[in-house]
Amino acid sequence: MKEKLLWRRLDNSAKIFPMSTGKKYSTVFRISTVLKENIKPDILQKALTETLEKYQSFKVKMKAGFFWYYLEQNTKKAFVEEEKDYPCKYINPKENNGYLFKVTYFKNKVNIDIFHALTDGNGGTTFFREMIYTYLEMCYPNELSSESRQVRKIEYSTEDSYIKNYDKKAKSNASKKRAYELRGKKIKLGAISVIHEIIDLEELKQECSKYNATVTQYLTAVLMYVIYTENYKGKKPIKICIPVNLKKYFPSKTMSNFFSYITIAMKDISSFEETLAFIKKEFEYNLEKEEIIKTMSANVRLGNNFFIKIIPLFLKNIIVRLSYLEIRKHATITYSNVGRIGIIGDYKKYIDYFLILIAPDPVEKIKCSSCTFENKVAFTFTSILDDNKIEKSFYKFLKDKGINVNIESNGVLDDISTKTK
Amino acid sequence: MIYPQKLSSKNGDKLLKILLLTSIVIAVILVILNNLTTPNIHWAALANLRNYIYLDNRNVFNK
Repeated sequence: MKEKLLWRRLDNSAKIFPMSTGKKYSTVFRISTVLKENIKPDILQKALTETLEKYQSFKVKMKAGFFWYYLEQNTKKAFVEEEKDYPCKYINPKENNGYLFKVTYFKNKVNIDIFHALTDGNGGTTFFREMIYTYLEMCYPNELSSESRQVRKIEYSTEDSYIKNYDKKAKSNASKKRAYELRGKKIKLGAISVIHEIIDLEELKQECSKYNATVTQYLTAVLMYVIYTENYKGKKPIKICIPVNLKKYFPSKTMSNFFSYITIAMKDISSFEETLAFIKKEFEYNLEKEEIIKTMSANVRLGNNFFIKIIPLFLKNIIVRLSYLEIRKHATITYSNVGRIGIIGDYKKYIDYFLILIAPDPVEKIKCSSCTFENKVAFTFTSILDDNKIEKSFYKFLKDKGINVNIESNGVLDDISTKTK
Repeated sequence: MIYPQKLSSKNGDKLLKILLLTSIVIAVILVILNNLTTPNIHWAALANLRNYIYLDNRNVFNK
């Protein structure tokens, strides 16, 4: 008799991803860690298998129902591969045993590429961190033991925290105006340029304190300013979309998506100081719980709308793809800061730094992300634009402020690379 | 280096120029062959259209 497999609904944010995704819009993000020694693939494979047993929410494949896509338990094995392709590429389930994530390695770096329908940056980091802990324990059994982590019991759920926390009556605060779209020739052959700017955290914090700003506010302001000076030609506002972790606002242990976003829009910029002052105010206003609930609730209401629910999936696919042609034009760039990645003391000495990357697409041609480990902030540009004026200008801006920045890249735009640091 | 060696953007452009020139030469040869062998069936047009779609998918014409 055929075994009955467990299944679960997609969360409210995830519903949209399988309908709008494709080779050009992969909606994949990557978390990487650079270790101090080369990766042992066999051990990494074991670590992945063990971690998947702990986090069954990742052991799933996507299935199409009559009204919505859903997730079904995956009984096949997930494989570790050597990194060969560009990061954040579309994950074809047919080539990946149905899994919605991919673990790869290159020299001393481990990556996990995750399709956003599965989880968000927070859930992805939790899973990835557990895999790295397990890997390190297997590599160094005498120095590290999982017992030291046993007190930290793994507790998580797969509930849809959007449904639990949204407000039916909250009014929408979404702007329907189009944003400025970055201009320039695209890189050919489907290549993605990756440039990591590894920033000294202490020096960056000192600079931020001069303006009484947070690191995210400061880096958003630098980004806004360099886009304006290096690429802006037009009348539409530059809009930076910043994802917000909703677990900071609502109690939730979900491993599913639970994020919202704020949008900062600017048009006329005269100086960096003015930009930062404006961004600080916008952050303070938009990050108030009431405003966050408004954005979140508007999205949940849409997904919960009775008339949308009863449309068959094949029609939903067409409608979503067409409406996304317009929706995508509401942001110039996305900047996601996942913040500090906390690692238990004994494990830190084996890790150099963490990286986070988001897939660019034909509308948002550059996407930015950052994360912090110890004294290193890794700010990443993933881009399909065939020039790196924005990346260079960002680097130069921080350098001029006396902040130490090192560059790592994948060499696609080869005039900015590790060699030039 | 934390990424595998990939084709740089400049080398990619050079490669595509070669690809484009080769495809033009092939297109011309196909049209000549078509006219010499089966002028009533325009199979060269179909083959060249497929070729164009392939190059377009590779963003060859995309500025």
